[in-house]
Amino acid sequence: MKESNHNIEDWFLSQPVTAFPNDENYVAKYVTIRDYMNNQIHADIKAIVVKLIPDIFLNDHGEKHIKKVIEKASEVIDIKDGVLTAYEVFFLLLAIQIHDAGHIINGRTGHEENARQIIQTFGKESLTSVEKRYIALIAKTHSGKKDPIGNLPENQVVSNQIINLKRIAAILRLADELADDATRASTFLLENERITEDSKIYHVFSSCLDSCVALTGTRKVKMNFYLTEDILIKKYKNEAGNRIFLLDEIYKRNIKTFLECLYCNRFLSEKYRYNTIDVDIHIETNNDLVKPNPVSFQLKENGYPDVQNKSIFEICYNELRSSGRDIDGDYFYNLIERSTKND
Amino acid sequence: MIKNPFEIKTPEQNSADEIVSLFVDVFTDFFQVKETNHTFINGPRGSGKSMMFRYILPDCQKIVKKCEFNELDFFSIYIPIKKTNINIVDFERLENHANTVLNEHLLVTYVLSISFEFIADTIKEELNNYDQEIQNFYEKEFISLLRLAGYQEAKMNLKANGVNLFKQMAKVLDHMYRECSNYCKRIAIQNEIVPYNGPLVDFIDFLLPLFQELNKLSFFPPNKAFYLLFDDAGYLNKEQTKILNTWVSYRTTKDICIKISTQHDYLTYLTSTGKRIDSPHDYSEINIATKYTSSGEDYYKRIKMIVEKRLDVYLGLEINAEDFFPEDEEQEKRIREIYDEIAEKKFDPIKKYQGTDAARRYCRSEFVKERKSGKSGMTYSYAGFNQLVAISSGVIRHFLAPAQEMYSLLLSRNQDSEIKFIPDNFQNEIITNYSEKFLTDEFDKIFTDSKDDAAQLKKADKLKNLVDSLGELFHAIFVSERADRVVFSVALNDRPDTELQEVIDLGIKYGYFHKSTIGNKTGTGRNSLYILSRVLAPYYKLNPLGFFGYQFMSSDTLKIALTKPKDFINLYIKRLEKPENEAELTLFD
Repeated sequence: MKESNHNIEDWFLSQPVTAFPNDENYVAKYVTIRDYMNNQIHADIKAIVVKLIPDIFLNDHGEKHIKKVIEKASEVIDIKDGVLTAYEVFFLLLAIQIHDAGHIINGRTGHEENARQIIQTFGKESLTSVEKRYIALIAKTHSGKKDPIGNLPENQVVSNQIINLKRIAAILRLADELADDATRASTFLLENERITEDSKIYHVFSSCLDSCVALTGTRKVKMNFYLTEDILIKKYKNEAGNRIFLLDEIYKRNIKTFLECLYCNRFLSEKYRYNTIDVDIHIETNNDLVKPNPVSFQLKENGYPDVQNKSIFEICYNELRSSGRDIDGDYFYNLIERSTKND
Repeated sequence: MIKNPFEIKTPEQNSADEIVSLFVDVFTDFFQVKETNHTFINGPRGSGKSMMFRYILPDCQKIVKKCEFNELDFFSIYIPIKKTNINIVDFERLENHANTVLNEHLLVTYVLSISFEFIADTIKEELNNYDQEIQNFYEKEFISLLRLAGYQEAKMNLKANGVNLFKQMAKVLDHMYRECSNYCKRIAIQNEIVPYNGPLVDFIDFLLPLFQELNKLSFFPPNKAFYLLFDDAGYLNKEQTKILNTWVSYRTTKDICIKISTQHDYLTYLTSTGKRIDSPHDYSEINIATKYTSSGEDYYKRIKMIVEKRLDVYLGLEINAEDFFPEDEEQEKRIREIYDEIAEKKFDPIKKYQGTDAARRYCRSEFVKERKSGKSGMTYSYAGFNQLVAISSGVIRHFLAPAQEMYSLLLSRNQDSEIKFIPDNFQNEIITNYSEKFLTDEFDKIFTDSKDDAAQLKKADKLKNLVDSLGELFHAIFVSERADRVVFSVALNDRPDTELQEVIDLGIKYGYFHKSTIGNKTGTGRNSLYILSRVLAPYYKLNPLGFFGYQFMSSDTLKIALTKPKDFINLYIKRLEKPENEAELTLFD
């Protein structure tokens, strides 16, 4: 994020009433809802999910995560550029506030849709029906692969102001994708082996992701991972129930981040499109044989766009190959095992 | 009292038994209507769209399939879109406030209110055998989805029986519809936009899940889609049309199939998400008039079956349609004589078909010219089942309406006698009047509808000029010495400009033209072909039978007819008068 990027929330809170429809105090409305969410909803999400699905221990979906998403949204666009109006930022901020709140209803299942139930609790003095509807629609599109943003209505006029639903949804979705760094992991519980087996890989991933930054105006997202040797050669249970190396999970998630950027690019203006993921994976080791270190590569739009049908090794051929082999989890495992035996 | 076998009733006015007894199966021609797919059914008024819809409603299908409701292949629900209902045109203020979301709310509540009412009226007391199931549906699905949408007020009589529960749910939705509709009318007249605080529902989060849950009720066919039959969807406003298209784009055909009928007046194929729905990816499409004008044999068979069925059901008469509507024998005899004369005169031992080909092409033309030059003037008769079918131009109503009149008139004159056929003079008189009324009455309506809209009035004027010009021209060709004398259509070499296209589209909307395509002269593509309705054949004294020729022309040439019909006619009459100049006889190139 450039130094000049304002935090979107700070910027919003400083807007005068004249920036909003009918000169209404939308800042006060937002603060009221935000405080309610922090006190009544965000704090309890994790506890509810554990109760509903004991095998799942979510990484952070509460107030900290919301702050992180807002921070990432502030990196994705420079609000001072006039990309969004104050009223549109109202929609964005509230969509960010409620986007994961649906977990509190029924856990992970259908959480995107359950956010609607949360928003209905707010009375007409806070939000009109139309505002609730659009905020819920935007929040719902933060996940899912059936082109949820593309299926939003075109620019809508609300109280004489144009609301670009797709643009707002794209900012939320991308910001949420980038908000998965170490602050999200339950580090203490991880270190003390208190995280369930099914959820460990997500916490380990988050804990290893030191930074994930959208570099405004450069079209790049920069990701830095730091992992120890132990973590590198250990296998974790993934979503499908298979045991895989963390490195393979990192590659998979990098592809996902790349695809999310490409997807969201469709709805963002030229200046705010991200088409490169620049990754450095640093391995904390004294062993000189562990190479390459860091594992560095770029995921970039190249040639005919058929990224979805390629593996990461096909996309980054030169960067993730060594001695004729793909630099995957097995590669490092064998390398380290061999070096240990030789010792 | 003797019933008129050709009486036209709107399909809603007929009972299921009547519909099933009268209906002639057209689904071999239009199989897409019954398929599990979204479908557009396009056709002018009277072409049978509403009748098709009526036939596939559950009460009729139950009789046809001889089964219970939950054994049907689909459960269809009739959703009429009439001018006075949903498309309140003073929604212009919504352009400044939540246009899509409010219009979708109106459309969803309208559709669901009608649907629940329809279910109650169709399944009737049988629903009372499922009180508990319906109550569970009401509490667990209907109310909880309503609350998610922000509706807090539902008060229902939970002790009501199945029928009344459905009616009450319909009432709740109707109330939601009216609340929003009244809000929209209020902001139309106020200066300020007052916030809307009522509930809001949409297709994906409300209508679809409700129908998915409805399908689980044991009185509906399990795992079979609901068919929503939107009749006359051309009456929707533009935003509602886009919303309906968005529903089509969702590919929900496992649960809901959307069948949309239009009179070629559907406003747009864009969705509210900015995309466009396309055939065949998103929907299948049928064009009734195009199908029946290009496949005359199928249409002839259909009308014949309809006539013979009606005569049997209403009068107990087992008689051929051709015998009930006989030709003018004297005329046909003379035409056969002329045919033989031409065939003999043009006989060529090498080109064996030349004589009969020429005879077929020219016999009626020569007959008319003979009559025209005689003392009786132009007295060509349009009597005969064959001609009446051809004149109806693929639109069933254009056969039944004059037939109804013929029968009524005859009945009023022969009150005590059994009617076994319609005399040819009756047929000719009525069909000629019908043709004139089709032109003049429809134009009176167009002019009345357009009187406050100067631009539309001009368009109507131009349309009248265009129709008159082509009618007169085609008659002039018919009684000329040209090789091709039966011309009913023009094919444009190039794309018409906006002015010409709008006038042609108006003509298509009112049924004066049908649109088709034809291969171009160089064989590299297709051109638009505009076919004059054969209902106008008696008025302009044209031959409704036989193969119809067409003429290529440029759109600039055709445009002359919009404002200078006399110039247009004079230009081509001169060419027709000099048949020896073959280059000029190609007329419109």
